[in-house]
Amino acid sequence: MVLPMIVALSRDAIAIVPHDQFEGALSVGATKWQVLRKVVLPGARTGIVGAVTLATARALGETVAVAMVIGLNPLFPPSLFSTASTLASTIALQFQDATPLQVAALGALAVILMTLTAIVNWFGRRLVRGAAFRAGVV
Amino acid sequence: MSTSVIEGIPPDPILERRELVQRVARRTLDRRMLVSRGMVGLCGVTLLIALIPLFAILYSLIQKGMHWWSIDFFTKVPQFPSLIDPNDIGGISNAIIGSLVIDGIAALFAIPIGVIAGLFLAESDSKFASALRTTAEIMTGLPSILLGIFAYQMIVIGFNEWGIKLPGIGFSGIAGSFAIGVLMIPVIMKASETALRAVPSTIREAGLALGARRGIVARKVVIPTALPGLITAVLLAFSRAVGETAPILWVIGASTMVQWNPKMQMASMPLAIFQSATSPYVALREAAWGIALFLVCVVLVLNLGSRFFAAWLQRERR
Repeated sequence: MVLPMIVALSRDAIAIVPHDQFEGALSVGATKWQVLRKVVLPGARTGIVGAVTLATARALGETVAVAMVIGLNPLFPPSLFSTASTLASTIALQFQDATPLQVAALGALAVILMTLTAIVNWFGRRLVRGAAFRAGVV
Repeated sequence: MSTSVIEGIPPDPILERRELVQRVARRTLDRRMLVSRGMVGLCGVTLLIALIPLFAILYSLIQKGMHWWSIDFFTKVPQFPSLIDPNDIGGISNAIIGSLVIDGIAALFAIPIGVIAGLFLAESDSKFASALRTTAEIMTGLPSILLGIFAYQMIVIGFNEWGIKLPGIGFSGIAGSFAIGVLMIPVIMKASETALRAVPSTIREAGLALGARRGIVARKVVIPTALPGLITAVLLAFSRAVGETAPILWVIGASTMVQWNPKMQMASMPLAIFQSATSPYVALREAAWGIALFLVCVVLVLNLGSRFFAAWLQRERR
């Protein structure tokens, strides 16, 4: 679910690399791949890292799609292939018939989730905005 | 071929260097072109891999969902399959109406707030505006499940803390509209800011030069010019909100009747998919594909419709 997001945001980051640099590198004899590898990717690196960070924030908070397939495991999962739970899926699956104490506990999970995603998101936005700012596109 | 072999002229170090470079470049050209072709091809292959899930989802949606579509499926209310006819699951008319009412009310209050806030972000350079922008950006990234909890605490069971009393109104369509609307506002804000900033500053300055105040310029010049972009922004936010499950998971209750009154418990399409897909009845689990296909079609029509409408509006202007 984050794949389209990474694609779209990385595309934006790559699109703001000035075209002159691309053509300049081509004109001194670099092949297409060399231009991409040595000119375009370094120029777009901040933006791409920002895109991946933003996508991570989205992935952290993905709820219903995860809740349907992950099961619900209150213990530390023994392996990647066993049932597990994420912050969001635990809230989604247990909130419906929770006791007041459980509601409070899930509220605490929600606070952790919110802080985590807000920090990751803020960081990603800063990277993306910084990349755009340096390229002169705000 | 080299100039340095001509008699009487001393070897030029710059020309020599250039020749060396050209020689090496020529020797490595074949290898570099090969690597380049290979890597660019690899990029294409990863693009294809990235597209596989999309087409796999579309294929299974159409293959498993299409045959559920019938007049009854869209006009009847749901029922549990009986022993006599295990495939008779009724329809989803309650979910369609529910989504319509909930998302309609959400749009009704989220669109004006979002667009006007976006106008503020685009027109103002103050500290407050940049703080607001950061807040909106963080809010667009917040997991929608948090909005579900928020709406449940604030609207459904009420709020009674720090001396502030807010009576709960129970499970209702209004509570769902609130959650969806809060989700839409920052998305509309950011997108409409982008659309409004795309208005050339010369047009804005021309308005100011004629003596119009900033408010008049914003209303009579900036908003009409940015209208196609604004419509796209609003419709994209709306189409995203239509498919959200998590915010309304606990706040709209459940209803198996066609319910137009937003003060009552309601049904909704994303929720209907979730409940059918996790139900113990085989037929209901299969029917979730049918609902999902319909929801995807609605979102697709909204998405493409907004783009075409904006393009059409842009053309009419010229």
